[in-house]
Amino acid sequence: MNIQYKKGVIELCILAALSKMDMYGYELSTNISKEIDISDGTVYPILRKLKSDGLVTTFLSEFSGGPPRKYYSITEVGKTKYQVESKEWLDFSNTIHRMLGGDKNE
Amino acid sequence: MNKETFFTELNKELVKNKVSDIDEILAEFEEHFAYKIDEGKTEEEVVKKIGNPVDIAKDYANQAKPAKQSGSLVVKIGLVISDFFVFFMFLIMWASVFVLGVFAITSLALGALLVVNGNIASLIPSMPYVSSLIFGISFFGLSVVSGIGTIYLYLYVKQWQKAYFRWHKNILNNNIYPSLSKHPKLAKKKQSRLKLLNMIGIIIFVGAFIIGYIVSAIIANSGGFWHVWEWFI
Repeated sequence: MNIQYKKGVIELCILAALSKMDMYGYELSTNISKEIDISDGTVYPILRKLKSDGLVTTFLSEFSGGPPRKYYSITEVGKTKYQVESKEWLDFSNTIHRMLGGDKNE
Repeated sequence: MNKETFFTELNKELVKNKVSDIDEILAEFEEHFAYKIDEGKTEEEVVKKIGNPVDIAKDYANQAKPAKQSGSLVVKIGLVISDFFVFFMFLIMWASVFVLGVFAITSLALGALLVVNGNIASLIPSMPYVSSLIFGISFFGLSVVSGIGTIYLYLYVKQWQKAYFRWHKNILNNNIYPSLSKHPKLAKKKQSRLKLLNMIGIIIFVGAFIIGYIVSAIIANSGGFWHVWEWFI
């Protein structure tokens, strides 16, 4: 599948994952690349963009003696954006699904 | 590609794309590697899955651009104002270096005149040669101290100027260059030598001055020998 096509969705997937709980960058990377076929590194630039847009914040967690690790957390702005965009996306994908003849009941 | 080449490549590409906060980005990829290797993957496997450094750097560069443009005019105006004031500040500092340097040379010249008992244009008040010799030595000490002071001041002003230029450049380039120290780097050996020389200079200056005073007072048989020798008439 076209990579640019995927990148747009990954933003939304990150927001979805973070709206459930705070996560490390590599957790997000692993979770998403498990489902969608992208390189592991793709997630990090997107995370940075989300941060500079104010949709997520980061904090460092000191964990079991190791070096501090960067945790991501969704902001209120991010939550609102996620609700709006996930609805838009679901509507859109339902339409496409129907138009491509995926669901014969509708 | 192994981990090291990946990081070298990524660093190079990020710099090339003028991405800011490179250290932070690299630290996050370090975390990624640490986590994956903990999971039992080899470095090569992680590198293979992580993607091409060129593409990753481009992704960072693409998302950073709008932020760079917004407010850049304000930043530039601020920078011009800052440059204006800093220019005068540095002008004053360079003038101070110059003045201190001239002072050191003058002290040296005065010391030399006193020691050889040469008196150009009756600059030096009359006194016995012993006093003149001791005061001359004292001025040599002063010239050493102010000379070293000049060197240090010069090095500091130069370093500050460099650091300011770097800061200026970083503001316009998203902090891609490491900022410079405010202290000049001096080899340890050279530094300790200068310190020792400075100490000797101070001792000679103060010591010879005091001895000169005592000797002069004894010769003139007065604590205010300059009255006896009619210096300030």
